[in-house]
Amino acid sequence: MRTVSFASPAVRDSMRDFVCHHTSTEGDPAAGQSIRHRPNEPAGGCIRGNGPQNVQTLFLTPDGRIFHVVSGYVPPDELASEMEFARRLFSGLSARDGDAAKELVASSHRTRLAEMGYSDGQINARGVEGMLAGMMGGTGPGEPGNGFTSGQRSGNGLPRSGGLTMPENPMTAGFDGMIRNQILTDHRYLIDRPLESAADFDRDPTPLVGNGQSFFSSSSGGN
Amino acid sequence: MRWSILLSFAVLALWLTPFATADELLRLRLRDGSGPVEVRLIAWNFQNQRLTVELADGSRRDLGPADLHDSDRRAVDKLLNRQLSGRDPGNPPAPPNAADPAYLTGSDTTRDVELHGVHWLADRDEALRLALGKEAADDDRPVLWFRVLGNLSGFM
Repeated sequence: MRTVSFASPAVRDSMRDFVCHHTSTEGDPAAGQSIRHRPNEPAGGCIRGNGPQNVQTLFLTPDGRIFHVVSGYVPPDELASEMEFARRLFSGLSARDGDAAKELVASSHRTRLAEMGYSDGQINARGVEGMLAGMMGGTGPGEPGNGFTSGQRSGNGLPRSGGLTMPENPMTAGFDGMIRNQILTDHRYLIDRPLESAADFDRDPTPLVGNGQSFFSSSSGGN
Repeated sequence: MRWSILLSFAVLALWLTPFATADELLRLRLRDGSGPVEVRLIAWNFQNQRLTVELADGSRRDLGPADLHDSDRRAVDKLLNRQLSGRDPGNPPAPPNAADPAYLTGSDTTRDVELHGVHWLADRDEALRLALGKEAADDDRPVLWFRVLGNLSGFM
């Protein structure tokens, strides 16, 4: 994220619309593990959603409430797209309060998932059923039940619509289900918990990142 | 379960990963009936998602998802994690190294960071105050909160 995505000119330009804030999850039992690397070390190849316990990019209102989240690594073009989604959603929130604001957050995330080709069944499924629904159908374009039609898929089988364009990256081949499930998990979190306070999330991020220990490597050597 | 999902995050960073640890052996039962055999992991080829292993006689074999039983795939997954991280995934991460130059130069997690021309505030209250517009509701800005295991300007 730091070496690639945050260095992207498009992302840096978009950051002017945001106040940027960083915290560390060192010592948080819900944090994962990672091969630690310095800022000047070359980044290894990652795909979207790698290390969801290690990295979360959250978007907050000025009163400290979460209206969007992206877990794990996000490539530059997709981060720019997520920031644009957040910017537009935030703009809509300025005219709403209370339940109306929460409803806008939830409905915006539902709409975004639908635009990306997720079916109602996938959007509404929860628990194990939801996880399976999210991971189903990454094997090829247009299979029944996977929520996509062939016209909505990019070369690696991921959706193009909704402003989210997956790169034609051979490294993502075979990981479609995992990526799709992470995207689904993030949006569902906001559908279920619109405008949760950042403090509450910090106290217990496990509803989003889970309790398991994930491992994340973004170094480029063979270490 | 797909082979790619099984091996998942531990190997995503590497296109073709050579393994430096040579002394950790695995006993695998191959689906072709030639097991159990003792093997050493040589490489994980991300592109074709196959493992290269070395057998006790020094010969090498490429293994794909169909070649291993489920339990052996899990064992391979754990070994990959250990070899890539240099530690057992069940253990907590090592504490920050206070002798590291990144820490000595003051790049701790409680300080603001300048990164690629963007100022990152460490204090949330300050970030939220800054996000509040001065005159009208439409000059508010959202906060982008990067929550990360590690240090934005040091080790991550």
